[in-house]
Amino acid sequence: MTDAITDVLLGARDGDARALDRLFESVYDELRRVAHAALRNEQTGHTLSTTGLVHEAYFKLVDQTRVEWHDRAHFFGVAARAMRQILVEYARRRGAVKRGGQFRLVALEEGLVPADERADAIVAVDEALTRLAEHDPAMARVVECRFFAGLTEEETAEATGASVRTVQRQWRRAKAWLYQELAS
Amino acid sequence: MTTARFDWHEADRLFDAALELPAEERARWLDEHCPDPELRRHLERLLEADAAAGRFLELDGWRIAGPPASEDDAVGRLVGPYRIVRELARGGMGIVYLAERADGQFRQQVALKLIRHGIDSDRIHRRFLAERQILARLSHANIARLLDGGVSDRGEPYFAIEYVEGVAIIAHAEARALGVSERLRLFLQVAEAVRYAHQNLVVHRDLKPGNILVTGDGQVKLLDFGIAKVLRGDGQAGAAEDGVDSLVTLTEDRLLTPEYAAPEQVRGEAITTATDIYALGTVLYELLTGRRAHHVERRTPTEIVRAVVETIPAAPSAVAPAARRRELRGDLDVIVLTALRKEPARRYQTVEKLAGDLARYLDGLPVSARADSWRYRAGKFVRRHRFGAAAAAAVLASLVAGLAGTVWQARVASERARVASAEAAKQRAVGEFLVRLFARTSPAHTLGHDPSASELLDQGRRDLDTALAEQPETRAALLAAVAQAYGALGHMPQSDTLFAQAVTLARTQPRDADGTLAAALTGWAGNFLVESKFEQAAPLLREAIALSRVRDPDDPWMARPVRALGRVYTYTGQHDSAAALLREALALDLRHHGPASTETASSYDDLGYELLKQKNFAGADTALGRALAIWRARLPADHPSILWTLSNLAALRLAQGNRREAEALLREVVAAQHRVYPRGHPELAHSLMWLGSLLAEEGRYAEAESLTAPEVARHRSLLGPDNDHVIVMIQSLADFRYRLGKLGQAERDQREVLAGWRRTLGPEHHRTLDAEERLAVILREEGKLGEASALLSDALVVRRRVGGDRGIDVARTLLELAIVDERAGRPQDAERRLREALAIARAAKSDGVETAQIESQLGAVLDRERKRR
Repeated sequence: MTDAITDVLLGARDGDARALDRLFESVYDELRRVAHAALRNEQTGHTLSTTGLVHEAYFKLVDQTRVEWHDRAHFFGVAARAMRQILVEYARRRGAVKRGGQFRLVALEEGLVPADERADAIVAVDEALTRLAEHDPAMARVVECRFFAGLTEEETAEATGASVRTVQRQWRRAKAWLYQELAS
Repeated sequence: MTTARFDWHEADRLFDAALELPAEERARWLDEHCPDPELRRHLERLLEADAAAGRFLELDGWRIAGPPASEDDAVGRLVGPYRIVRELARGGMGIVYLAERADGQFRQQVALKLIRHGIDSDRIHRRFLAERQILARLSHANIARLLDGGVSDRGEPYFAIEYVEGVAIIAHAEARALGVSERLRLFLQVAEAVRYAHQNLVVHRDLKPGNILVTGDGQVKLLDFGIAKVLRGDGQAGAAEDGVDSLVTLTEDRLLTPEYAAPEQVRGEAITTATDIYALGTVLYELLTGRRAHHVERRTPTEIVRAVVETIPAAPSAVAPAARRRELRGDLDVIVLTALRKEPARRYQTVEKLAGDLARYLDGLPVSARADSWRYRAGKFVRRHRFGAAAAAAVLASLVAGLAGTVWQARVASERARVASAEAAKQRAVGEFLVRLFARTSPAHTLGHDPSASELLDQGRRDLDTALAEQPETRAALLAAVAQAYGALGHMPQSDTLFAQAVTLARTQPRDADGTLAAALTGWAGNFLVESKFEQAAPLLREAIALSRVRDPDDPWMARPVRALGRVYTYTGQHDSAAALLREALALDLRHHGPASTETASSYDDLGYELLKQKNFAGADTALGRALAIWRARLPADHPSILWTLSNLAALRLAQGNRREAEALLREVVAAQHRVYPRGHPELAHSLMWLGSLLAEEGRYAEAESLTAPEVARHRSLLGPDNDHVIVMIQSLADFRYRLGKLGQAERDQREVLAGWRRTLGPEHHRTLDAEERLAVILREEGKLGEASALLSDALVVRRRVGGDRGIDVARTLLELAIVDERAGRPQDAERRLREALAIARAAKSDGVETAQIESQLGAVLDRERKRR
């Protein structure tokens, strides 16, 4: 299993589109599995952050000895998209639908907010992010990494191939853009 | 959705560059670097969002919406006697579920707080149990109640709290678009809960909007005592004993919410009740403005310290939505910022004090946090009485305006006389007087009692008894100002006395150098005008005009006595003189004060009334309309001047035959005067009598009576039993009651009127005689014929002596007397009187009403005589 993923990852680096698809599927499945286990089962679960999940998935999926720095970046990028999809799926399963701002922005800021509202907020962020990507795909990727995958600025820079300074700027711009988009 | 027609890369470049600048320099920078208005708007929106975003998206998606355990695991699970229904929320250390009792004893929904899997470190455990113990101490309507607690079969500690179906306080206020005072009332519930907790030696330490819910029926419930602490005996919470309060822990575990945390909290210093007061300040700040007091952009220790410890939040009124700014400016700004002081010792010392100031603000009382300046107290006093007792506002407005006028006049005089030092002394004296006066409205002084305007004036008057002996002119000016204020309140006797003192004192000065005497004379005459004592007003005004002309032919306040004298002539029917004076006053006012000034409005008003008297209705309409337009643009609604002009307008409509509009206007005036003069006022009395007679003319006596009856007592006590307005008001009431057949009440009223006129006008005045005859008529209808006959006979004697035997009044008295005689079974007396009356009436060639009445009465008497024989 681990070897297979590592192969796929290496293949993806070489530009194999099908390999990328397979990579995504594998990462997605593994992340979802890890995510479920994280809350169901004590044995995995001292980690509650997305970063933790992503890293855990990474360690599970990839034989680190065979993957260079560049490929780790690839993995983060893919994992970020997968995490976005997983979270939005969960949110939708919780009954979140397009309700056009039926949540408070505070749902994205504080911990103690009703779960339904948080789910709505996640869906709204996802939708706004899709709109943002039409104008500026790179900025949208940064949000995916930072928000959905919980990656650090450095990891995000790795995943997107930009400098940390650029990521910081993009992140701040994206937050402002999303904030005014969701606040209106 | 932003559909951009501009270059996104250009936008990004400008945004990034703008962020490098301090916030206050960005607008100017954009002026230079961003000529495209659409792009500019986009950037402004983004920069605003950037400033407001705070911790937006800083919590990663997993923490916000990660798959809840309940989906797979928790729902349906039994924890103690409770079955988990669904997840409600999750916080730093536990998940809160909605659960219900599973033992079937009774249906009860609870919020079940269960420690999270994976975070069961000793420290968290201890804290969790501490919360349970703290909640057990607290039983208060505004605090979510602890119902139960225990350990699950898996060994997890849990507790069940009252399930609050509610919305976080800010969201509640926004959703219902609550006004400032409603928000404050909501907040006072929060304060009450915190006060209770403090009283029980519990500090919450994590007060924030998310922990404060409002139920559907508007009750506030405080939740989450998760990091609350029990105070030690010394009032401190045991600072950082386990490291929980240190900054490191704060950022790692997110146990605190830095935007609402106090400086001493992020510094890891001692936690006291002052910490909660600070947090209450942040909640109030956000509740009132919609913005957080602090924005923590990045959750790094330095950033949090910078935001919380170093940044002083902007005044609430500077950041609130525009609609609320005015209300927040002043008291509320000060209250909020006092709660948010960095140094715990400089905040409100208790929650009671904070709540007390808010309650005082809601009641319009001065707040303790404000500086003790007379301007603040005077402004507060005026605002407090704006609706409840606007007369007080009028009083102080006149007092302050009067003094401002005095000072201004002093300046003019001094420039010409080059006595600058005397002027400065006068200004200082006036200022000190006001400071002393308004200091008395300080709660410290009044011990909770709210002094009324008249109490304040009484005090000012007492002060003046002893003050300023060495500055007689200033003392005279202040006496006149206080007299003016009494007059505005309708306290005529006090006002007259003080005006007399002011005038006497001013006359001792060699010349009326600064116009004090002229102003006092004019003010005093104003009292006489209000009381219709024109013969007393006129000489005062003539003297004032003469003084002003000598002192300064170009005196800008000359129009005041001129105008007042014009009014005297209007009321006494000297219309040519009146019109000439009023036009002169108008010209003066237009020259000195311009077409939009309130002085000019006064002249238009008086001229309008004069034109009405001359039956120049079109001219009156124009002049009154101009006065009203100026008043409305310059004065608050319900200002006495507006009401005065409205009642003049009512007179105009009545003269034009438009009774409906006249009545509507009068009712508007009366309603407003009730608001403005809750304790009564001559002008209110005047409007009431007028409206009453308008109704009576249409036979609506019951309406007229119910309008008038409640007013008599308070006007009698306000103006004194000998006041014209009071006596005339009682006369009207007697007439209405007589018409309604309430003879007993009418008799009592009429006796009071008679006594009043006898005291004030003497036994021979025609009003006294009229009152005697009216009383006789009432007595006659009650069958008290003896007393009726005696009264009428007395009146007849006086009338013959005063006006001769041939006056039409004599004929009327004879007629009434004849009716009594007839009823008393003295038909011959009746016939004799009626024949004399008829002769007088025919000779007097009156309008025929009396003649006809006498003839028909005589006919009836003769008819009955014939039948009897």
